[in-house]
This record gives sequence, structure tokens and C-alpha cells, in this order.
Amino acid sequence: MAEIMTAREAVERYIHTGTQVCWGGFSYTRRPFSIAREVIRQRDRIKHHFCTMNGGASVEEALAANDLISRMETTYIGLEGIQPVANSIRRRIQDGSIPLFEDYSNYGYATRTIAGRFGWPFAPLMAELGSDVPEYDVFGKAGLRGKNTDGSWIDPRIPPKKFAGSDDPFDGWGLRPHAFEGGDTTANKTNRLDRTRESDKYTGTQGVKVMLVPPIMPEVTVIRAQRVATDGTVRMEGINGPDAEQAMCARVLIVECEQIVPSDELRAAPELNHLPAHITTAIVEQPFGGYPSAVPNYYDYDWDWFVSYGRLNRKSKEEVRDYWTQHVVDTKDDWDYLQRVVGMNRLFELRATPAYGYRADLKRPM
Amino acid sequence: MHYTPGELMVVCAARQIRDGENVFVGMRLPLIAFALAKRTHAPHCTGFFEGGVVRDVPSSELLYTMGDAPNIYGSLWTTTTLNVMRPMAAGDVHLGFIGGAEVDRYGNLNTSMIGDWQHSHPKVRLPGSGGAADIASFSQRLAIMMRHERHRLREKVDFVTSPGYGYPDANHPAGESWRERVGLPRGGPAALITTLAVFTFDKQNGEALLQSYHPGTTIEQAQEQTGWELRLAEDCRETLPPREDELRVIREYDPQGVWTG
Repeated sequence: MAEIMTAREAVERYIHTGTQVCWGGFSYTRRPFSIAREVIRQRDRIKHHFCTMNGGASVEEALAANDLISRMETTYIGLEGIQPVANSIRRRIQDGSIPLFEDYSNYGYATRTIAGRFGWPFAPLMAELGSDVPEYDVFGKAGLRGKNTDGSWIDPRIPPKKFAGSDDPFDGWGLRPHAFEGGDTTANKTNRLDRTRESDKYTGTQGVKVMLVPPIMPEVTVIRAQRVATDGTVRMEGINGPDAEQAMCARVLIVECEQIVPSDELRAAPELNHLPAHITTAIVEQPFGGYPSAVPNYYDYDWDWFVSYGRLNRKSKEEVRDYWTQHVVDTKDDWDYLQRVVGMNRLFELRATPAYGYRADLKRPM
Repeated sequence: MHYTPGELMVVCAARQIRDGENVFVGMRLPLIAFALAKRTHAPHCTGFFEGGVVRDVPSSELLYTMGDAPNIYGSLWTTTTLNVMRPMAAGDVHLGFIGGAEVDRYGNLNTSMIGDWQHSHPKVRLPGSGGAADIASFSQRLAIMMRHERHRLREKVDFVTSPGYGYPDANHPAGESWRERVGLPRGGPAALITTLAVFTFDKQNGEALLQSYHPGTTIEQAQEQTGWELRLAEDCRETLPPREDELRVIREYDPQGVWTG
């Protein structure tokens, strides 16, 4: 049963030292900054956590700058046009203060969410073959994979292998183009399956190869949606990114939103809903809480903020941390942050142009 | 007519797109190349954007990030990341674009880390794969775009994030056969587009061939900035400069030269 609560309550209840949290949204869009800021406010209690995400690093940069990340399992830590690599994350990986950093490709991670979402023990994909990504196993090197002598998992958050190369037991039958009677109309005309049947990499035996990946099973997934019903039904607008899947992988799902709406509003067109009420644990309403990221149909991102932050985060770790202390830790809650630190004028400037869903005249100087 | 290296790269990238193709569009220059191809020689191509967008008209505003809200308006479909990676995994994407921190003579790309990661802590951490390893594995053809600098175009990259044509070993060459040996069913780099030149690839041994050098650049200058001994394509020549109508489309889409400047 989903429960409506404040960001502070949600974080106090579900995010603790070492908790594996999967952060939703994609890139600079629909990122759960309200919960992230509350984690930063509670940084002295939480100390650090296991950060998981697929798609962009704006929230994660903020968490890293507050020394809140001890482990990461992710796909990409760039800030796109703002910064090639999020500097607070990068410098901590390089100096060892984020000692455990494991990465996957987007599709590798997304395939993990297929397994997690459907309750499969693993899922196959044909990417990562031939790449060094499967070979670089940080959790394995740290001795975190596998079981203790008593049969328990060394760390229940960490799968016993990063990847497992395997033969396709169906000999590539499911791959296109397929030998349909009359041929195949797929756009895929270039497969050389007969040749790949001779591959003996990963297994030592000849056959079609696949990479198997374990499910993602975060303790907590946090996403941001435009609307959530009082019962916990979730409706997202615009791009969905990895959220529909990774929300269903989690043990606890926290959804922060622009507005909580009557259940009837989302029941009127249930086929447009993304997540059913029964998987939502906590609902947090915080208008503008996705700031400085964009929430389609509500407001655009604050490009100026990101540009100036991209300069600030190159200063010393202490100076960057001080910035977060002054701007977020010292605020009472997100209303206090949004009104006092960001200011209503700025928020109003970012409001989406209704016809387009984004701010049509937003200036985005580099 | 004056143009920037970025504008020429966009034109070279657009020339890789054929009409009617499914294109996995990366940020920055490939984004503009898609808009250019759509408005010139490839009006029937469809673009896939990894945040979860499928669109067949260029966005009405320039995009700054992969998830930008202007990419939603007027699109065919906004959906999940999985749903846009899906056609690529199924082999239905004809052309994919990626950039990288470093590339080697066999088209292998590194966006993960610099340094000896097998024996020690990597020296420099890069952003990671994102969709790059997937695009390199699954697209029927891959176009790579990057700055042409000697430390970026290397004999061998430190870490293979996105496989190109692999490496030769004692018994086998690099090339398409390397991809088959590791189980990749298709694909491989078709072009490496840099600030100085365009390379194509010899699929038999996986080696990059200098296909053309940009106006104002010589083969010697390209060699100076390349970490391996250049092999020239048989018909190696100067890159065709952008046409006026191509530059007009590019400047309409990126009037401030944010990505092409």
C-alpha cells in the first residue's frame, strides 16, 4: 500500500548507510532531485550509499560531491555538454574515495532490468561480446562476489558474476534474418550467423554466443513522475528512459512527483499509466522538485545552473562540498531550497511553454 | 565558402546516412548530421535516440543533452531506453554513430579508462560505455567521430569499451573474422570521421584506411597526428567540401555553432 509522506520521512525510513539506491530519470530529464537533496541534507546520518543508475550523472554528481557514494554500478558518468566526466565522481574514483565502481553498457544494464522486472534469474544479450567491460570486474577483485563458506552471499546486493558468457542453447534460431518460408523482411540483412557459430570464445565450445547478465535488484528505486495518484499509480510524460523497468526491479519504490492527483484522474485512461499502485511504496509530492533537471510539460532544466556548477565542481573538494552545505544542507526542506535559494522568479522562467512541453525561449549559452 | 571543421564533419557524417535507413543518433555532431541528411538526400530515414525517442523529423530546437525536452515534441514515439535499443539489438539499425576518447587502427574505441587497468588502478577515469558498446556491437555499420589528435588515434587503446575489428593474434587477423570469433553477428566500423580526415576500413584485416583528407590538410599532417602508420585507400583524395545548401541547413539547425563552432 503506497503511503504519502515527505521527502524527509521517505529518506529517513528507506535510505541508510550502504543502501543500494537506483536513481531514475535520464540525463537531465525527470531526475529525482528532491529525494537526492534530502539525502544530501541527511548526509551525516547516511554517510554513504551504493549508487546505481542507467543514464546520466547529474544527480550522482551531487551525491558524489557530498561524499555520499561508496559504490557505484552504472553505465555512464558524463555530464554531456557540461563536462565530459562528472568531476566529483571522476576525482573520487581516481583518488580511491569511490573504491568500487562497476560499469555496464546501456543495453547491458537495461537487459539486467528485464531480468529484474520479470523475476528472471538472468537474461541474455549479444552486446559486450568482445569488449573489455566484462573483463573489468571491480566487485570481483574486491572479493564481494559469490558465497561465504556457510552458503550465504558475501554481499546480497552483488551478483556472483558480473557477466557469464554462454552458448545459445537454441543455436541462434531466434536471430533474424530467420529461415521463414518465403524469406524474411527484416531490415537486418547483414548477420553472419553461420560464421559466428564457429566462435569458441567464453565457453571453449563452438556455437552462437550470448552474454548472460544478472537481474538488477536494488533495495530502493527512486523515480520522478509528473503525476501520481493517491493510490500510488504512476504516470510519466515524455521520455521514459530506464524508469518503468527499474522501478519494477526494486524492493522499495519511492516516487516523487509534481502533483498527487485523485485516483479517478489516472483511472480514466489506465492504458497510459506506467506503474500500477501496488508496487509503489512511498509517494512524495514536491512541485519543481526535479529542478535543476527538466520535467517535460512542467519546466525545463536550468542550463545556466549546470554551466556554472560545471565550473564550480572543478574547485577543491572542500569548496564544492561547502557549496552544497550552504545551498542545500542548510535548507529546511525543498520548499525552503526552491523559494530561498533558487527563487520563484527563476522557477517561473523555466516553466514549460504549454504548446511544446519545454521552455521554447530558454537561453542555453555554453 | 568558409566553414568550420565541425561543419565539415557533420557533412561527412550525413553522407554516411542513406535514404530510408534506421539511424541510431548520437549527441552533438551526429544529431546535426541526422537533421542535415533528413533535409537533403535522406528524407525517409528514422532516428533513434537512446533516452527513448523515435523521430522522423529533426527536433524544432537544437538539443544539448540526450534527454532534452525539445526532442519529445513532434516525435513519433517517446518510450523506454529498452524500446529504442531493441531495434538495434535485433539488427534493424543500419547506421550507428559514436564518439570516443581514443580509437585505434582497428576501430576499437575506449571511453572507459586510461592506464593499465589489468594490473593497477586506472590513471584516468572516462565516462564509460553509455550506449557506445551496444551501438558498436549491434549497428550494421558504425560511424565514429572524434578530434584528430595523436594521443586519441592510437596503435592500441588501453581499454576496449566498444569493439571495432579487434586485434590480430598469432593465428588470425583482426577484421570481420575477429568479430565472428568473439560472437558478434554483424557490424563493425564503416567510417572514422575526424577533424582532419575520413577513414574507411579494410574488413579483411580490420585496418583503418585513409579515405580522404580535409581541404587544407595534407596526408603528412594527418600522419603526424595519427599514432599508427597510415595506409591509404586506393582512391584516397581530398574530402569533398560542404555545399552551400548543406551549410545553410546546418546553420539553421545550429545557428550559434554550439556543436559545430
